[in-house]
Amino acid sequence: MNVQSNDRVLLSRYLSGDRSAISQLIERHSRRVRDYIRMLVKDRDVAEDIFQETFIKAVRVIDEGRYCDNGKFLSWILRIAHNQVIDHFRARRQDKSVTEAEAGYDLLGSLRLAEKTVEDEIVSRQIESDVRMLIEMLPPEQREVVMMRYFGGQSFKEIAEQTGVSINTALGRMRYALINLRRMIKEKNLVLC
Amino acid sequence: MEDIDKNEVSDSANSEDDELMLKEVIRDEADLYYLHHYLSDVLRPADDF
Repeated sequence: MNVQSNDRVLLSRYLSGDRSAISQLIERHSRRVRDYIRMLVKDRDVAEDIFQETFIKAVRVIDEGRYCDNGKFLSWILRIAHNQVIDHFRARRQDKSVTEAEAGYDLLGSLRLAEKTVEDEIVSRQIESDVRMLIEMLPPEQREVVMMRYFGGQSFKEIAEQTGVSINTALGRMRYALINLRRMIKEKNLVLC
Repeated sequence: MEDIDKNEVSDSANSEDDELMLKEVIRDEADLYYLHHYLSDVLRPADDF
């Protein structure tokens, strides 16, 4: 069973009255969400507060029946975390202590992300299509590692073996692939959502 | 009711590969981190590309 299927099972259990399921769901993604927030705010205590606020917000949205399950629970949680971080920086900016640009989240834009409507879902699918086209524009060796890793679900060890390079080279190609994608996404003015 | 695959949970959450991705690819850059998870969601193994 893949990650998305497991998320759906846990959400379904929670909505059916199994209160423990939400704890499992949070635990599944806590490290990734916590890492993301820490990268943005660079302060462990602040990050922990935002982490807690993120999941409180998420549970509230789910409880209110406003969560649209499109199989992308982690991305949804990361968007909520992003919004919480934006709110944090806006509050701090009033103290002139930091700018949003310093936080380094250009890919998500500098505005709070609205909760998705049906129309937003259509836009999201178009952006996904655009990102796939950008992947096709990567240099072949970078496109290959992206495809093998994300589309093929292969480990870096497997990618290295199959492409005849070292693991470090495979990792380097992945880094350049992501950096190039980030640049192309900015050039196209795409906002990932 | 369906069971959760416990191995998948622990493997994906703590895998050596995730650590490599964090240390060698993302290197504490938040937007690369978000892009990584975005691609993980968008480019699932079962998708047609």
